[in-house]
Amino acid sequence: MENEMFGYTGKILRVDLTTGRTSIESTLKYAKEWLGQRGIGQQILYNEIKPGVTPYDSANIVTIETGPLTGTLAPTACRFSIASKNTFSGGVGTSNGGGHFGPELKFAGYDLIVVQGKAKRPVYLWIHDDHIDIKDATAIWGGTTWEADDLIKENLGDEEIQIVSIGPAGENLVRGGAVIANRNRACGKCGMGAIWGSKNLKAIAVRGSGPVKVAQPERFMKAVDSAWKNLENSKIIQRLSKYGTIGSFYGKNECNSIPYKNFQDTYIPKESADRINPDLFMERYKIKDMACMACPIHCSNFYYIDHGPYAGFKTEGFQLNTVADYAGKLALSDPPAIIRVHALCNELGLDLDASAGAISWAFECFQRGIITEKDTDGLRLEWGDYGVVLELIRKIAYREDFGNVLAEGCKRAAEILGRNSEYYAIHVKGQDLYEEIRLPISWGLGACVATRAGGHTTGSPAVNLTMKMNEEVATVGRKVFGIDNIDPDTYDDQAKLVVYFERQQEIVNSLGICMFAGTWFDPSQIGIPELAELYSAATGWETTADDLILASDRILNLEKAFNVLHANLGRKDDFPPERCLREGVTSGPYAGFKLIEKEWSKMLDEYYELRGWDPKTGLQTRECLERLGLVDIAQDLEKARKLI
Amino acid sequence: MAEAFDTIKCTGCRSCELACSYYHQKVFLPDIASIHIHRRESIGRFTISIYPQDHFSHLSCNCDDGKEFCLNYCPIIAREELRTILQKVKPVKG
Repeated sequence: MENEMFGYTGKILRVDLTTGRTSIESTLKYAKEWLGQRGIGQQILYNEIKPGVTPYDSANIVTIETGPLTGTLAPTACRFSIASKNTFSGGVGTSNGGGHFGPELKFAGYDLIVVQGKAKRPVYLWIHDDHIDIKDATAIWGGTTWEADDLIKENLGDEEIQIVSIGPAGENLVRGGAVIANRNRACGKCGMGAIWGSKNLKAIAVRGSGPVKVAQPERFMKAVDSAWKNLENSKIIQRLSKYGTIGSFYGKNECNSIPYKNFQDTYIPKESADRINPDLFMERYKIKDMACMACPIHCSNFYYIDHGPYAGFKTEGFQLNTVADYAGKLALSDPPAIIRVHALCNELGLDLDASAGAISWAFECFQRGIITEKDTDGLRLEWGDYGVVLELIRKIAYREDFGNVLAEGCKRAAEILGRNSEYYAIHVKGQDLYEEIRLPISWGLGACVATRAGGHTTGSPAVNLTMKMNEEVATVGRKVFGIDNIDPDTYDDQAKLVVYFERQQEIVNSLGICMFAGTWFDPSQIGIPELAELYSAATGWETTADDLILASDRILNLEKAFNVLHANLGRKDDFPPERCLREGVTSGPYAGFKLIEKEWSKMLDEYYELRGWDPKTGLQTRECLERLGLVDIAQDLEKARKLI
Repeated sequence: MAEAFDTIKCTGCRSCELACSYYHQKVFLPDIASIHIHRRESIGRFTISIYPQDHFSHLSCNCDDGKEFCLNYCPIIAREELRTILQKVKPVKG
């Protein structure tokens, strides 16, 4: 067929929830310029949402995206993303998830779904190959994501259906509302669940019986086999397979990179850390390894609690951010409580980082006497009290009493409360974060410049840690990244390292594989040249590493422009939260370290220069955008007087 | 009909399904695979079904015994378990 595409299914499904109409658009319209998944989604949102539209406006649009590798046997090729206006920043919102939904959407024949409008009553979307149905969800509205998963499968009579859904948090427009797949795979950040809630969209259920084809099967499988073997042989990946990212808990704590008690320090004291030792989770609670589709890493663990108040509870587990959020920011030191907190957030469809952000802000306010039991519905917010934490998570999801304030995220909650509590609200561009910004410095920079308002997965390097732990990895890393100094407290070359990972992650997130299979942990894994080979063989379009880098820069510049035009974000928004600049590290190996604002500013200048942006304002330049072929974006920015 | 086996080591990644469909038709399509993983996510258990004969869209498992293509993509920790299951369905000849 003349228009047959490989890698891609070739079709984008458009759904208007206001009118109930659906239509099909060709992926070819976007694919060569914007790769896929995150890239195509961002292009559609940039083109179709006007700057004045607010996140919960029915004129807002949400995209559900897969990449050209999603659904293939490339290792970890299971990813999908959800994108829309960010409920916290008003700018770019994009959140990436694993599990089995993304590949199923491809088997049903779609690269993306674009949802616009607002349904009159709760609905869910049922996609079975060419059959598209907007179904009544009144009976499942109000239920958890786990209930939605069970009920939809039961109603449709097929246990192999893949479902993504929102819980009470999204329905109640909690800003940190998440979308959950496979009970525990979360598209957590940026409030995508709340966007679904605003559209009365409870879930998307999909079943597909069509193939994902690649253009050059033998060449593709050769690249797959090489990547597969490489992952199997990596010591770093083997550790990830055993523990998940909690395996780096001690290493990260020893880098002073875990926020403690709402960022009052960057280190969990040793006696507390030992109570949540990763080996304890493995030996006492883990009962099996679990994996997303096509993933040889299986970084996920299934846990069973056999004692205490949660005896008999079982669930798929979590990554390091849950530990940093709840053992770090909230000082919980009871492993079953951490397992239960994680599961409760997923059941209620609530982002872990966002809920922990608002709750830990409240705990510190209570510690300092800024709030009392009169403000907290009688609850005493004492560090480490997991019963209170669980109750506040529930209150947030249902916007009940004090939970209604916390549901706004720490920044807005502090604005509502006042009383000089704003200083204790730790956020980037309005969104709560788990990332300790002070150390490693490159980790902080990646989170502060992230277009989606904080988060470490779009540019923060993890290799400062893995290269420090393993000399072999360090040798390869120096060559791949072209830098010498990987000390957590150095500013040297860290902007360069962040730009490297912004490119890598933008490509990974646009092609459909998981960042864990890339060079994020281990520089000898799937890098940009290997991604170019996989993409070329899959699509039949010869593409070099430089072509992919160019595409990634185009996507990132599109996102940057969206942030400027929709949320007026600029240089000031790329600085750490005030506390992280004013307060140094007081304990742990890097005790005494303090960020220096002038040095940060210099590093930011270097980052903007590498990006081709104006260091003084942080805004994009005509020269940069023209070089990237983004003349229309340059015109939009010029009209808004935001172009240098 | 499929023969079903409860597992202990299987991670539920379904790489075997993708590998199998590639082996048969050089495409990625679980619905034609000779192997299927039923993921019971609420209890963390996975059941492997093997199709010794064609069954609806599923094609029969016809790799050489002991050299099943899917084994190459089964995570190392689960590979021996899958090998054992395949041997039960397709006893090694002579």
